[in-house]
Amino acid sequence: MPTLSRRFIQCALIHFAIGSTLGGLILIDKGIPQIYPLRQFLPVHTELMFFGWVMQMIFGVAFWIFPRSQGRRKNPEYAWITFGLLNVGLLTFASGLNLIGRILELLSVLSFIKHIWQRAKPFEIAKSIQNR
Amino acid sequence: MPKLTIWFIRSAVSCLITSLMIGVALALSTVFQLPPIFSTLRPTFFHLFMFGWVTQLIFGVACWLFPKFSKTQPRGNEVLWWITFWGLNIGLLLRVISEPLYVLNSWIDWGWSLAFSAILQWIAVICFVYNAWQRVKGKGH
Repeated sequence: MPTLSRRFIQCALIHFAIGSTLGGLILIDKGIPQIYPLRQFLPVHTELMFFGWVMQMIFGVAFWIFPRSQGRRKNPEYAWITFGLLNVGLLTFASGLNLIGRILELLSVLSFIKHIWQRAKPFEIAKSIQNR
Repeated sequence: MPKLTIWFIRSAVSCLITSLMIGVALALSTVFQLPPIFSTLRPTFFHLFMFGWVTQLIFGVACWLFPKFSKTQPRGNEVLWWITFWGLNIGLLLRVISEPLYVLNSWIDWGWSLAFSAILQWIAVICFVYNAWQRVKGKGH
């Protein structure tokens, strides 16, 4: 597993643990409403689970598994930019700066598309067999 | 494909079907006059989809495809994997049953059941994170 995939997946797991803890506390608070009102953190929980966990996990696995060209992952810098922008965007959103957070997330997705678009193709071995 | 992955995927597909059936009921409730319980099902629909389907599918595939933990324990701690499976599914089922009943203020206090479902699901997540973390590694590690 390449370094960047490890970083993506490790961050996804951290976001998942934090987002689930928050979600669990919100649900407990819903059932036994004596605790501090945690429902206000619902957008942060949703954000961590959607972008921090699911999307980041998909990015990490896609960077690892998608077909490579001559054994190399082309333009990895775009995927690194995705990793940086996504995590900064998430933290920015969670801290209350929703608009800036969303813009950073959008830029991170565009950067990932730039990286992955050319890798969405048949594996080279399968392609060479097809061409025979 | 390991047995655990098969269980995760079958259960994930069951959650998908259930969530979509609830989705249809929610859509119908906007057109027809249905009992009030239908209006309480939105979080149930959402969590069955995102946690029961998407997350559980990720769990199953991660258990199968992530680099091996060791030769003797390729998937890491098997007991923790099973705790993840049962914690997620029992916790989610408990939530699916108790959340609408709690909102409708039934004569039983379903709030404690809701809290217990949250704890079960949280335990499932933490066990998964522990197991998966140890398998996130490069070649030669």
